Amino acid sequence: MSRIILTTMILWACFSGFLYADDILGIGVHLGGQHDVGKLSDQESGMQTDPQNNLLAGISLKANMSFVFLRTGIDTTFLLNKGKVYEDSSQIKTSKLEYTAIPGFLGLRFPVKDMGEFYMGGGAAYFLGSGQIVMADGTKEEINTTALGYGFITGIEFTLVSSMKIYMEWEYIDARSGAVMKTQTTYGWKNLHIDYTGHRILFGVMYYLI
Amino acid sequence: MRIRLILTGILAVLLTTPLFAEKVNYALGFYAGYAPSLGGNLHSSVQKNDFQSENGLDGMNRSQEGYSTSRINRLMGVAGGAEFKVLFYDYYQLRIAGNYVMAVYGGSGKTVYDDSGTTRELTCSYKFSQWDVPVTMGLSIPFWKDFKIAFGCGVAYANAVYQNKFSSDTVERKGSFKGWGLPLVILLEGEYFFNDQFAVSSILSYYKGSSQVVKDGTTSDGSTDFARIDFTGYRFHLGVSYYFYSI
Repeated sequence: MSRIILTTMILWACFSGFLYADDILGIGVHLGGQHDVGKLSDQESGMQTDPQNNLLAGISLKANMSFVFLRTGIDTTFLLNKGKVYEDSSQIKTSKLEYTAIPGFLGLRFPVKDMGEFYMGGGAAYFLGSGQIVMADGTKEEINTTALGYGFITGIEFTLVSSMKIYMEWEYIDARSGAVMKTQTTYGWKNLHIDYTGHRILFGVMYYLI
Repeated sequence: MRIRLILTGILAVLLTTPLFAEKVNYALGFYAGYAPSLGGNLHSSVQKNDFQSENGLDGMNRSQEGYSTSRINRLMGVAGGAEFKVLFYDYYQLRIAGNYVMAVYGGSGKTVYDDSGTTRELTCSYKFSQWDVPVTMGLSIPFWKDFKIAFGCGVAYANAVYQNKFSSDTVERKGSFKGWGLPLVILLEGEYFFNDQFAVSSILSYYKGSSQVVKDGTTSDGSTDFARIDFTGYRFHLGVSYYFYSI
């Protein structure tokens, strides 16, 4: 199945250039952010937290063909502020989570003459996460996780000059890792999963190569 | 009673629309897509009381050395439906749709739990299916005759069945919950027109709401479970639309 999808994508990338003259393949750079990374408040019922916020930087690749687009790229995050837990009962005190994500979206694009376009699509993202959890007794636990999530993207592009556009995107991905560490003292099992679910807002500049 | 009022209102609008003559257009559409995190965390009281999870499926995700466990992913659903739209004066849109969504991925795996001081492996299984009828009102903004962007909000009548099953060497618990609710709905839709009447569409919708607490309908396992069916979540669809008159 994956071979068929990959072959279709390669053929599309190879032949779409002969059919359409411009805005076919773009490469962009963007900055953005995500609020409440890790969603610590969802780990325990009623847990009061100061949510972690991350800055996000990435590269996007966008291929357009008529009314369809394919968008992929790579995003990486940088800590803006740590997540803090205020409950004395909780074993978690702070969180510092970062990740690299590889998204892939497919959807429809709606070009507004030569001014730009609006686009909306669905897809998935693969997360490679790392970070540090500080426990109530002061011990620090390093974590490494992976997760696959599903979601959507919607964005607008506005033409600056020929071949150069600015874009703004709203991305939502729902993704959680498996249990990676133990944050309770009652039982012997690992219970904490890392939640990468959330909204991401991105601003960037895209250059259309062909 | 509330549903009857909504349906009567819709019928009244549809019946009076011919009075607007050519200022009214109608569209019929079909679409399919997916719904991540269908049913939310699928919490129920048995998971808290018998298996030490305070947040449903998320809390059931555990691992321990010496035990064979596997990740239990949240449910992802495949969704499909049909829509009927009435457009007034080019810009105002009333939309009624019928949707069905069913979990096709996730919701099964193996975890551990504490059975009176003894750690045991537990096989978990979750299922969820839902049908709903959302009614939304909003703006439909045409960009020449190329495409339309529509934004609307409203309410849906949603009806769902949620089932769970937990089995270990010593215990088996089964839950089956049927419930309904009136979640709020926000909708963003884009339509790309091939000609004056046919379009392909992408639809993003968000539901927010849940049912009342529902009592477990399964009694064969000797326990009674309670759960609130969560309709909250996003859905993404791709589809086609046909407009009865030229746009």
